[in-house]
Amino acid sequence: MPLQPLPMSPDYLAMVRGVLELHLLNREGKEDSPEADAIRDATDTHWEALSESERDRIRNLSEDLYSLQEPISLYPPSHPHIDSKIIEVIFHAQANGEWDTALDILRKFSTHLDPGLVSYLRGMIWSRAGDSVAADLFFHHATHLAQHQQ
Amino acid sequence: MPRVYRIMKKDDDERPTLGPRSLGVRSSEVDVDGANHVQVNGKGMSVSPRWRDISITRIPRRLRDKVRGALGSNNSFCFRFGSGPFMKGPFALGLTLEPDSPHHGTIAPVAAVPFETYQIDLEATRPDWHIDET
Repeated sequence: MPLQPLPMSPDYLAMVRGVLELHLLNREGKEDSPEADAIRDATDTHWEALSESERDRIRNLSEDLYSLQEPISLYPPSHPHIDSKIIEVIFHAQANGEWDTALDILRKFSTHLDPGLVSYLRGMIWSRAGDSVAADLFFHHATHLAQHQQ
Repeated sequence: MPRVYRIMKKDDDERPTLGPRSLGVRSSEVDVDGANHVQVNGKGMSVSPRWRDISITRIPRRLRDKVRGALGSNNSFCFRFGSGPFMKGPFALGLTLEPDSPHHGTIAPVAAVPFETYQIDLEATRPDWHIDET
């Protein structure tokens, strides 16, 4: 039976796009810019239309997006034995279409994993859950870190 | 008066600044008739019964330890007004709280009034807003 992607209502998708755009503006130091204000104005109505589970998903996505801005020097060393156990659990959740669970496990253990791997896994989960835009941001970060490590 | 929260910029006296994105409304948030009177139809200045209910695009980033993913401006603050239950009823002179869900409502005019009058009524509540980010 094929896995079901996350249900994404128009309000949810509009909210996610707003969050992604605000993170990009924040990175450019434009959190108080007219563009940022316009995004906040435009997303208010969408936020009100979301269920609590959708709100939680977006809060978590936004928190994960902050990880893309963390300085590389803060990254912990990788522990292959622990990595493989955690990845196994994440893959199990993902194989059952439990997207939020997979992301939650990854979030909980992210400090134990190589940051590039964390971003790659986030990208993979979001891609399979049906959000290619969010996935691309994490894949891009994973690629950036891989290039930095070479 | 009902307890409501709104995220706004603050002035030097720790009270909210006045303006369409602070203590005030954008013209697009209300309906006005040909005589520039604000219509009584539930639209108005957005408020919430708890600041954590507000969109993460509004909650200041510095409060990420309390609300995951918050990405509002750090120049904004969570203000509280009143202490009563979040229910439809009088809010302040000329104003009423109109909840449209358990976690959102608007401060609307009690009667159709000129847009400027509505703004003045909202601005008159300024002394009673207090920063509360607990």
